[in-house]
Amino acid sequence: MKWSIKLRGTVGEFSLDVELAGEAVTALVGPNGAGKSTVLRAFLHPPESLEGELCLDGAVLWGDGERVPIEARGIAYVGAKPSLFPRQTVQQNVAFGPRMRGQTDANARASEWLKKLAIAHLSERREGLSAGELQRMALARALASSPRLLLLDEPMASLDHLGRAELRPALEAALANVPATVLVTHAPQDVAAYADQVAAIEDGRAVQSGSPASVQSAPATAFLRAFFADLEPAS
Amino acid sequence: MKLLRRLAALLLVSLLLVPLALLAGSVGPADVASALADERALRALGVSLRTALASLLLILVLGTPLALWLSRATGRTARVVEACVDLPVLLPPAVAGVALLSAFGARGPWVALFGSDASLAFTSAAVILAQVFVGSPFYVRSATEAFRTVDAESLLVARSLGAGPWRAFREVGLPATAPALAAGATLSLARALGEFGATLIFAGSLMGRTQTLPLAIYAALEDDLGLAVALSLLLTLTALALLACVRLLVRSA
Repeated sequence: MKWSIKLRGTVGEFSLDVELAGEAVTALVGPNGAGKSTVLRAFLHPPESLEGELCLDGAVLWGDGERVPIEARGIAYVGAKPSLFPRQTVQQNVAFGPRMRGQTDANARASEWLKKLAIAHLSERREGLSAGELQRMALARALASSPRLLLLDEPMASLDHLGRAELRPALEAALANVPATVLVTHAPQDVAAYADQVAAIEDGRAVQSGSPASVQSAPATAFLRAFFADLEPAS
Repeated sequence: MKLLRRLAALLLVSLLLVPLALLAGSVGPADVASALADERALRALGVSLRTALASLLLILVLGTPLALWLSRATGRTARVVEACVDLPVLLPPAVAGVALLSAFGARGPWVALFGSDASLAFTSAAVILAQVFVGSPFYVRSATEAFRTVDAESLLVARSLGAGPWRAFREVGLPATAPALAAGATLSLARALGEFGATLIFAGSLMGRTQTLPLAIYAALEDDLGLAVALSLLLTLTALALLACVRLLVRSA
């Protein structure tokens, strides 16, 4: 499923002018403060000071006088540090999406995702989850709503080595189950392992896009050269 | 030094508790029963219950959107409004009464706009207005603070999962804020139920119409101290009962 987003304007002191497009798994990369998280959040809630357009699967979701409500877009978001909805169990959190969409088998769907992401044993917990468990809960919560597009903001960033190793299968299950994903990441190995496309932004501007192999073999900026330097040469 | 400190603390605690204990000790169930048999008391109780509950409803219905806006808005206007919302707490109730009278009384802009029949002074509406005026800051303040703690990202996630704005707020925002909202509503209700000064000036003390329990106590003091004491106990019990109801309601919601 293809998407494209145009954003132009300033958020506070930061000026943004990007046009990005992608399909399947797109890795959004760039240095700290490049505007990656701002772009990612804008899929759901563009700051009022920005103008632009978001298209998904050929339809305009916002921009140019059009505005599909957030709840009707089929876009799910998992932040870098997700949290449980207050006073709800993990099970209730994951069943939230299907329940909001009026699906009568909300709980069964939730249980299924909890099992797939190996957190079924946490289903009755309301608090005390580790950062990695919260990530998996948030992934399950997002996936249970059957999104068309999944937005992931550095899912590995707050995790240690063990946490990352535990998250990987969950992440792979997620990527395999949604038509399109935008993955913000600082990890070249994640780009190599998961991405079908790379979109790079620096200082609020799009600097390069293409397949991981093409960007790796001809990086357009110093940042991208350094980013891919640690990786094995693309085959 | 330590002794002095304890003495000071003890003095204040006795000042707070001894009069209440004496009040409770000086009336028995029989006095409250006879007060309840007194028509003045019954009508004052009715006025108090009706107006305080109406005030609470108004405060919740009008105060919740205001608190939501105050908690989200970042502009200077919001900060000015926020400061103004607290004003009635600082204002002496008598001043509030005079202010309300000059706004909604016979010579105020309200009457100039809607005609002399529209004067609200000395009506039940005046009682409610006075209570809302003095009572709303407590709810608006704690609701604003509570809404500030609601995680904006969680609300956005809830929206993205298919919840409309109101549904997302109810399912994800409210549960975490309910205790603070209940505490604020309780304070507002207590303040509304005890309102005296502004009500006396703006609404008068008309039996069965604007004479609330506090005003009935004041009226009874002139000729029947026993009745005044019994009414005081009745007011205290009413307050406790209403506050318990508010807590229960919020907990079940």
